[in-house]
Amino acid sequence: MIQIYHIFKNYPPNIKALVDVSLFIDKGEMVFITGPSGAGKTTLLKLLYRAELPTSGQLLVAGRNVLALPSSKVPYLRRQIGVIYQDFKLIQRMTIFENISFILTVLGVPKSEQKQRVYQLLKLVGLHHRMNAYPNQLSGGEQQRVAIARALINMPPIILADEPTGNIDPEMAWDIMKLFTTLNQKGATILIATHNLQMVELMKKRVIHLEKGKIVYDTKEKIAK
Amino acid sequence: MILGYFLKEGLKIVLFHKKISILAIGVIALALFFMGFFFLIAYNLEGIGKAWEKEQKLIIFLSKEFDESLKNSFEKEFSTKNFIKSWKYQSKEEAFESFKKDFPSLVQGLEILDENPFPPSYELILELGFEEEVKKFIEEIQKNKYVNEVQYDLSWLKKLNTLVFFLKYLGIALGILLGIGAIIIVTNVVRIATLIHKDEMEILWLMGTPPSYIRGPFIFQGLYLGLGGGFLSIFLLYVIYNFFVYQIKNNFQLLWNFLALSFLPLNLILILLFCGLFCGLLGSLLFKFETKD
Repeated sequence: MIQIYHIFKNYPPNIKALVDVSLFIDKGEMVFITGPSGAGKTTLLKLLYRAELPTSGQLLVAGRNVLALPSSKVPYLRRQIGVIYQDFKLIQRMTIFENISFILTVLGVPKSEQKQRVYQLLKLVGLHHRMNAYPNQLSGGEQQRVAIARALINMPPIILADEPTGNIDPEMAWDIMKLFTTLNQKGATILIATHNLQMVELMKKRVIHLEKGKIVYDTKEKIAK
Repeated sequence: MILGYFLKEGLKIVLFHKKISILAIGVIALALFFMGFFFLIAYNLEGIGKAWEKEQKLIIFLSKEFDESLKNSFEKEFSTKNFIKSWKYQSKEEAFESFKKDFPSLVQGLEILDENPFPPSYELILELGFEEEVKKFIEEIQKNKYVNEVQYDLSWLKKLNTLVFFLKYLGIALGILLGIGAIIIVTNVVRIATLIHKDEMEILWLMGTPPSYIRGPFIFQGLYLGLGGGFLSIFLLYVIYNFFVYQIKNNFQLLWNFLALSFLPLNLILILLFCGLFCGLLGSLLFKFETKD
């Protein structure tokens, strides 16, 4: 599902965010990307949904060569990927319902179906009663859950989550993880960048550990560099 | 569904940026107002010209010596001319009565005169397209000793038509000139709006929204501004027109009857609205929209 070949990503003046990263993630895998701040976790995720382009290397996501993708095709790639951002990226002037349902409008899903799907997802994240609220009326944790609902609304085959449980209480964090597990069991490929090592240990899934832009270990490869 | 989304979001953007939206609408309205103003004047002058053209009149003022027994010979002469549609005789008394009716305030001044100063006259209604024949007829009739003066002049009609032509093109030229300014303002208003909504646009782009969907509301923002400008210009024209009409009606009743003014017809109103929409659309399209890869 995701193939990364010798990726390098440099930022000016001389910051090496990723150094010769190669990895393969199969369809239906659930993978945790761990590492300290600045290790390159977020950059790696950004490359996958083409928010950033690598300095060199090759990337294939859902059968698409991300680097060779023309700008007009980028939206199609992104609709295959549900992204949960560290800073939520909610549109402040839109209600929670509008934030989540927007992509369904783009896809031409009828309003009645949109309402039904948004309600079900919000119920899943415990926010169905806040459908008409605006993001600034919600707590950080609630906004995180809205961001999760938005990422899942289109039922994408790939889910990328950047610190999805960073702002929520442990109980809700577990619920979110359970939700990811359910989606994973239904066939979704999930990549989660996190600091929460306790959760990673308990989930017993594949872990890729990054440090200074390099893969230090990958539990699947049983490599401990 | 997507059109509904663009309409809704475009309006939200306009309302969100109230001050700059008002500025843009004002500038577009100003450009269209000047254009419409000249159109309005030209349209009314054209109307007057056409009305007069339809009823070409020739007035023959007769001398004091004219006797009503001579009417027959005059009217016999008129009936032989195929370009004379009809005629109407007005005696001295009828002329005086007509004056009293039209200018009641001036009657007192005339009452001190010993005799009725108005001459008898003939008003002839002519067919169009007989200019040469009419000229000849005037030359002939002016030789008649009972004819004092003949009033017939087509040159003013030509001058009026030239004026109408000039006013129309002046309006268009001013409209284009000010319209360019309005387009630049709309472009900048849309640019400001996109800068303010930059984060939001980036989020939509990251979510897999095609650029056309991201840009759509901003194009509709321009259309709303243009349409708003168009409506405002028509409203201003209507207010000024009505003020003018009110003043004439109350102060110059005779002039009012003579002018028979009317507001812009629907086709010109639609042209103004279309020009507004065009300014708004062009302004929003001129803004170079880029998505961050």
